[in-house]
Formats: sequence, structure tokens, C-alpha cells
Amino acid sequence: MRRDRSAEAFDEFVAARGDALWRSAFLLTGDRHVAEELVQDALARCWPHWRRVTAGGDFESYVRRVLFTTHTRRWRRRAGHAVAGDEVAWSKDRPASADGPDGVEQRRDLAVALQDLSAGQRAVVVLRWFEDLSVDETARVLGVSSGTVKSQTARALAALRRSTHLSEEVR
Amino acid sequence: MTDETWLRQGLADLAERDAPPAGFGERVTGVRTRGARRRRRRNAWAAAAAVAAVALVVPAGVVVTDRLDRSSNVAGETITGDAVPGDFSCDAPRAVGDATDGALPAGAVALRMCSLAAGPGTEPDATPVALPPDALVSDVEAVLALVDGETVPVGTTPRMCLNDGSRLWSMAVQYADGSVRTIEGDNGFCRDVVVGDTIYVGAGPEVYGAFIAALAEQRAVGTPPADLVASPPACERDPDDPFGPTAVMPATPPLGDLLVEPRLCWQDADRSWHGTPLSADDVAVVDADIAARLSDHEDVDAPFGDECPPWREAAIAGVSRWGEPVWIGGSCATFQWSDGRGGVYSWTPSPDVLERLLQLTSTQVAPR
Repeated sequence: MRRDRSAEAFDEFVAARGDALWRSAFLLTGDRHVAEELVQDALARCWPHWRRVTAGGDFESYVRRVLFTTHTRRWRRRAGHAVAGDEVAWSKDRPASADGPDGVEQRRDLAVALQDLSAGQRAVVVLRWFEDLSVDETARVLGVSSGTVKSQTARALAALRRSTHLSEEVR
Repeated sequence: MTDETWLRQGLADLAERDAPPAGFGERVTGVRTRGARRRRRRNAWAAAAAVAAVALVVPAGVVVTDRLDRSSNVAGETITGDAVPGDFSCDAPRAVGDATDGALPAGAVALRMCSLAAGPGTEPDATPVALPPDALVSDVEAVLALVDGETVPVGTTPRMCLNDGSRLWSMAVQYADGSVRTIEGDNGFCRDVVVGDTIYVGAGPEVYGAFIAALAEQRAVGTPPADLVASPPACERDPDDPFGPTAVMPATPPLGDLLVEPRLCWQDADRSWHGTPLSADDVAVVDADIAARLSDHEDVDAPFGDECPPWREAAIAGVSRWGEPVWIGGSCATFQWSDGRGGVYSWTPSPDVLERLLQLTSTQVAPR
């Protein structure tokens, strides 16, 4: 029965937090379907540890760590191929928005500019400014040193400022 | 508005404007089943570990004869069809049953390396690995024939194996009818191969090595992909991942046959990495020098010369003609690489070639 209860609780967690996890994955990957794959992969990796993690900690943080590290490692394996493919995904995959062409274009440009960052830089940007994590929290999620987070952050911001995909007023 | 505020708002807008694909909720709750399957396989390794523990304290022969059957994975069934060998991906759906009885049907037409994951008790995916992008389509059954020997059912017999930090590997087997099955193995730890619910004790290194050797032979007579889009490799190393992605397939000179976009990378005294392209002439000179001065060393701590050039570390890097990252690195003036079968080779450039390489770097590191 305890196993059934774990399964039920896990399903409840997925139902409640699945969309939020997908949004983080979407910002990381720039592709709706790749984001879903990433969330599924992370959850599948984490489910076997459900009872251990929930007994002593925050399962969502654990899932997020697996999600982000899985993404950066996937990217490393795919070497340079991810950038071109994801750019295409962004430009084809963006639905129209009600808030005007300028806003749409500006966000699309941010999306494309994000894809020009390395996976590590993108992960740092999403964790710091979407997840609102501190430098130390970001370092713990990614399993790297705080110094690495700081250097990746500086490089990411510098790259975004230089990005030709962003207009002057937002750089 | 600061750029950080703008970034925060932009990211929130981006994330909120899109929604997961239709059916996401149903699919994502289904991952528990996949997780359970993963756990069963992991338990197989734990069980294998326990068996080896017994083997450590009891004479091995006694354990083997008492508990293990000797069998082969070859089954009576032969699958036929007209599937194009190698025309499948690691994501291909697995055949129903997926060799749950430990036996693979005859009629395999291709074998593809699909993952190398950290073993039990080690940090997951600690070092990134570049898998071979091509499938093995020759000598496939010869490789699979090595999945034999002593067997033990998954999860029944306790074993304990030393955790040597090695990786578990997974290969997808394609059949003539287009169906795909999976085998998993390990080159260290218990050194086993798992087929369905059966462990083939100690078969891992032989199967893995045979795959690497057969794929190298296949490449030697084959044609690399014509549509390869190779970007120059990044010379900068991640301090947390200084070795970068490691290719499964060994990268061995001659460099002219091996590399697309060759570069010389080096780390200066301030630990900053730099890179410069190597011309075809540079590569030819280096290849000739390697051919003349190549040596193999068992003792990898000893081969360095007395004098070091100004760089802290250097490497010849690039992308293989098959699309994999190549990093032939070294310290001081000695470069080293592995042949993938345990052999380590080293090359210390002749003074003339070293000078030529240093001239390439001096244009990059000299003060402006």
C-alpha cells in the first residue's frame, strides 16, 4: 500500500508541477517537444528516488537539478548541432500573441539570442532570472562552483548585450 | 530598466506565452512506468554486484558451478525482412518483450551504441561522452555471438562487484524486420552483459571491445558522411569538465585522415585557452613527424621531455570525419592518445616541428 501511496503522491506532484517544469525546460531548449522530452527524462530519472528524496528534502529541487544537468550534458553530447536546430525550432514554433507585433518580435529575438548562448550559460540565465535563484543556489543546482556560475553569468550577459538579435533599446 | 530587469520580464513572458504540447499531462504522468523499468535494470546491476561479493569470499569456481548456467544468447528464431541496416535511431521503440528471456533472435543486421551512463554509486553522467553517430552494419552477429557464457537470472543471486567508476553501456540491436532490441553491459564493475532478464557474467568488455574494433574496421573501408557540418572545435575548456566530451571511438593519427577543422589549442601561463587553425601543410608535417617519432608507453607519467614549451597544456583538436570531437592533448611537449584497446601512444615533436607549432601560438599570445 505504501508503494501505491508513493505512486499517487508522485502523480499528484507531476500534475501540480509538470507545467512549471516544462516552462523551465522550454526556456532551456527553445523547443516545445524537446522540452517535454527533457521533463519526462528528468522525472523518469527521479521517480525511483521519490521516497528517499521526499523523506529528507525537496523533490522539486531535486527534479530541477536533474533537469538542468541532463540538459547541459545532452547539449555537450550534441556538440554544435543544437544551436542551428533550436534556432529553427524557435522561429517555426512561436505562436502568435495578442500583445502586439513589437512585443512578439522582441520576445522572439530574446528566444533566438538565448539559443546563441552555450547550454551552461543558458542554464545559468534561466536559473538566475527565471527561477530567481541566487548564485550559490544556482551553483548547487548545476553541481558547479559559485565561481563558475559567476563567470558563466558574466559571459552570458556580455553575449546578450552583444547579440545582434536584440534591438538597441533592450541591450 | 536595467538589462537584468528586462531579462527577468522577458523570460517570464516567453515562458508564459507558450503551453506544453497537447497531451503533455497524460504523457508525463506515464514516466513513472519508465522510471520503474529503469529501476528494475538498476536492480539487476545491484543483484550482479551482490553475486560478485560472494565470489570475493568464496572460491570462484565453487560459486560458478553451483549457481551459474552456461548458455548462449542465440535463440532458435531467425528474423527476416528487408529493413535497411543502420536506418534506425536509439529512440526507436523496442520490440515487444525485448528479449526478456535473455535470448536474442538470430537475424540482427545492425548494432548502435546508445548510451554510456555512470555505474551504480557514481555521479550520474559525470563526464560527457560522444557516442558514435554511425551504426555497425558489418560483423554484427559476430559481435553478438560474444554475448554468451555463464548466466545468472537478474535479481535472484546476490553478488558484489568493485565499483571502479566505469560506465554502463547500452546498445540497440536492429533486426531485418526493422524491430529493435536492447542489450546493456559494463566494462568494469561486474563486467557483465544484461539481455532481458539474464546476466551474461563477465561478457561486457569483450562485447564492447568487439563493437569498437568492428566499427573501426567498418569505417576504415567505408565512406564518412558527405553532409557532415563540422564547426571548428572550441579550445576553451570548462574548468569543471576539463576533458570535454570524450568520443567512444578512439581517435588515432594520421591526423590528415582523421580530422575536419583541425586546430592547435593551448593553455597559456594564465590558464587561458587559445586556438588557431592548422593548415593542411601543418597537418602533413605533424603526421610525418608522428610517423617518425611515435612511441607507445605503458608508463604515462614518464614520457615527457626535460624541457617544456611556454604553454601549460596543448592539444590537437578537431572533429572527426564521422562527426565526433577529437582532443589529442598533452603536457609539456608530449601529446598522447589511446587506441581504444588499452594502448597509449605518445608523440614528442622534433625540435623543428615544435618550433613550427610554437610559431603558430606566438602570433596569438604575444603582447599587443
